[in-house]
Amino acid sequence: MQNIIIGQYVPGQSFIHKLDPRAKLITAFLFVIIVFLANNWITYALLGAFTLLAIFVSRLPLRYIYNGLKPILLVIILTFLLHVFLTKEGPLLFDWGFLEIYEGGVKQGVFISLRLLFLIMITSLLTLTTTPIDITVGIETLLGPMKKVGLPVHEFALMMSIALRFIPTLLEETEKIMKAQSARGAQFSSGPIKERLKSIVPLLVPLFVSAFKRAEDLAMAMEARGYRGGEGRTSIRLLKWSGKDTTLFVILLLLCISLLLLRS
Amino acid sequence: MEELITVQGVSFRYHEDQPHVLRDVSLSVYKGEWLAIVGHNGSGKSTLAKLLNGLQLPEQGDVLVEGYNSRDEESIWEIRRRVGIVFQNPDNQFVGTSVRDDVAFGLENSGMARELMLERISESVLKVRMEDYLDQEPHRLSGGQKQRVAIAGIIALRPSIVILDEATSMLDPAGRKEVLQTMRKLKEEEGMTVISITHDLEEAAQADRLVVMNAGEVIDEGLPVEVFKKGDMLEQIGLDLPFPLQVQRALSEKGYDFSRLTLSQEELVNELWTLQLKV
Amino acid sequence: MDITIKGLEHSYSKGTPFERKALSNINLSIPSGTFQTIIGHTGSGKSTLIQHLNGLLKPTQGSIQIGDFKIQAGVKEKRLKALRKHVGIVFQYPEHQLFEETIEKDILFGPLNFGVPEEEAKKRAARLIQQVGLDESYLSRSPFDLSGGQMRRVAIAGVLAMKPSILILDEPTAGLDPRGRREIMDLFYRLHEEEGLTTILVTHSMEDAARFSDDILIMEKGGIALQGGPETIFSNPEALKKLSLDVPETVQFIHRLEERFTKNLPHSVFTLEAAVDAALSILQKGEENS
Repeated sequence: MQNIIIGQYVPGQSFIHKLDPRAKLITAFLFVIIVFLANNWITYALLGAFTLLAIFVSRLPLRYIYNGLKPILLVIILTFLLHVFLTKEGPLLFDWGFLEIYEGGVKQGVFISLRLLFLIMITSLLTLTTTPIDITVGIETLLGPMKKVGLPVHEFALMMSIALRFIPTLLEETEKIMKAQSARGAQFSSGPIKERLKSIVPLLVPLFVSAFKRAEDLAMAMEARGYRGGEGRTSIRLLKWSGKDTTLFVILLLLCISLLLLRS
Repeated sequence: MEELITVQGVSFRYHEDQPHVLRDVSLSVYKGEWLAIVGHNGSGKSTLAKLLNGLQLPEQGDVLVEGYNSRDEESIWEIRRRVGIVFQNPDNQFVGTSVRDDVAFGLENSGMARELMLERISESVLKVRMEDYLDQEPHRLSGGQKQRVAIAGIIALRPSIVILDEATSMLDPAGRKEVLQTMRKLKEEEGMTVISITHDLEEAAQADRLVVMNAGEVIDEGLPVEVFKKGDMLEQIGLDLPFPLQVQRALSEKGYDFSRLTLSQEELVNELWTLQLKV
Repeated sequence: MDITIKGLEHSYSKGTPFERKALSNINLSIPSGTFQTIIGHTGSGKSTLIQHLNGLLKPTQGSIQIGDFKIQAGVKEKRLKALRKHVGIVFQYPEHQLFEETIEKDILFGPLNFGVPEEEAKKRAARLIQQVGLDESYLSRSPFDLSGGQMRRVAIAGVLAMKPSILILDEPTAGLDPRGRREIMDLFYRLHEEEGLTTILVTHSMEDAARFSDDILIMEKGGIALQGGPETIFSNPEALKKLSLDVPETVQFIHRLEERFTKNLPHSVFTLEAAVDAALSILQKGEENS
């Protein structure tokens, strides 16, 4: 329990690790839009090159990227098959009676799957190279102007960071309660399903009771330390926009222009 | 001596249909002293701590901190800046995701400029000897270390008073020592005023002054040696006398008279020596 | 039931980059009916060790024999539940495990899990609630309306209700005030004597260790640093100091008396009364001489 890694962050010193979280957030967001510009082989190849280059520069072991993809892989394959079988465009490639496969379908299937693949890769790259707290601070800063229209940006960010802070504590607590109830004969990991379901209550009730107690204590400690909402509050966390971040944006701009020129 | 906190005839209860937790409590806290407030669990001592920095307001009476009355809404923040509390549970007061973030929390609340914050943070972690842990996450720290971070977070705001609200009761002996030593050093070197709320009379024996609480009332007050003379009273309210005093009491029941009360074993053995010479 | 531990080793997160050895080469035997105390700093492996005694943790090396149950590295013990019926654990801050609507139901949770008939379990609950110092009217109340100290007592009753023959106590008095501490420890000692339990106490309190133990085990860095009866352990304050552990006040007192009065005093002095007697013996000898 000592070694819980919150989120997926993998520590590193690469170009991508060192980027300002805001730059990474904006890039990920823009990428989601740019992806839809691609509509032929060359534009998809360009996007692929950008994605692979980003992964290469991050120096992350491919295993981590693959782990990020794993849960979504089935969706990608299904999407591919759906398009292959249902799109009836262009010349007929195969015909097995009830099953007809057209070139347009294959093309469409490959494109849509690639689109999904690139999106997942770029967003996992964001979470793999940025600590959750940096993402939170990034979002808070980016959404800062929205405070004026009454969006509780500060509260959201504080909530996120407190949640991040307490995840390991609560996991540890869960383990303790599980052990205590196991010692009283509860079965969590073996035995009939019915037994196991029943043992959820003795786990969840104490966990909730303690979480509420913690919340109460924490609220009091925060108040005692002078917390009174986001107004007039300063922050120790400072985001620094550097040359690297501008470079990223230039690359992104070039990618965007190329896509616009090359798409059909 | 300069009086920092004045509590005048304070009564308090959490709900109107519940009994009073504090009844007509009056006491003073003086600059630079170590005041121990002792009592068993449920004697009202922790509630008193919450009144001292405006987390709760008196139903009757007044709490004044350096002239600020906690009843004035404007004063509350002035009071909280002057009185810091280290609470019992080390986990439930650690707000930040790292030591640096946590020490910064109070400073951020006060709207301090970042440059000054950084200065204050390095200064205060040094005082609690946590300077090597600035980027450490809370779940990798021991209980004693977390409490020291809590102290750093408080002294970074340069308060005049630090309250230890049973701050060592969940720690192991090593952690307890760490925290108390840190606070003693702060008191001696920085002239910090300390209020320690505890049921540990051994710890209280080291204080400059003692306030004894029972059932929401202050039942005694004075120098530790003076208060410890009333051993029966302390035992009745569920507190354990320090060991040397217990020995002394048992011996005086057997007819041996001591010239004075001793709070340490060394003194006790010396007293026994003189006593043996006499007989 | 006798407990025999042979070559026990435990590593957390075995086979990952975070692997950490918490116990190594522990050999220990605890005869039935022993009051065994385990002392050590936080992180010395005490908690890891006791969690092996009812299969909450599995050894990565070595074996544990409890009665005719055997837990062995790499072998799956199918009768874990039966074992847990015999080995009760009162964890640190046991009040955190309470969850039922009424105190009675919470006390019944363990016994019912282990197949004790409801009638019998209820009888136990009624008796235990008094033993831990609350009266029977509490049974129908919610455990969450109690004070911290009372919740602790209810949780303890919940473990005792399983009628374990081995009772493991992991710092059972942490956070209580002096009176609460004394009452709880006296309760455990009484049970130990009356029911002939094997009691394993993990504590930081040298006073409790000195007072109650038949045998004391001092752990450091996942191994056994010292072992022996209270007299043996506390007759060597230097060894304890080396491990940065304290000596009970009574023992300190005797040593100081011996030094100051250059006299030999009995060393098995672990209670206030015995300490006072030692002081008396010195004062009275003074009288005889004069």
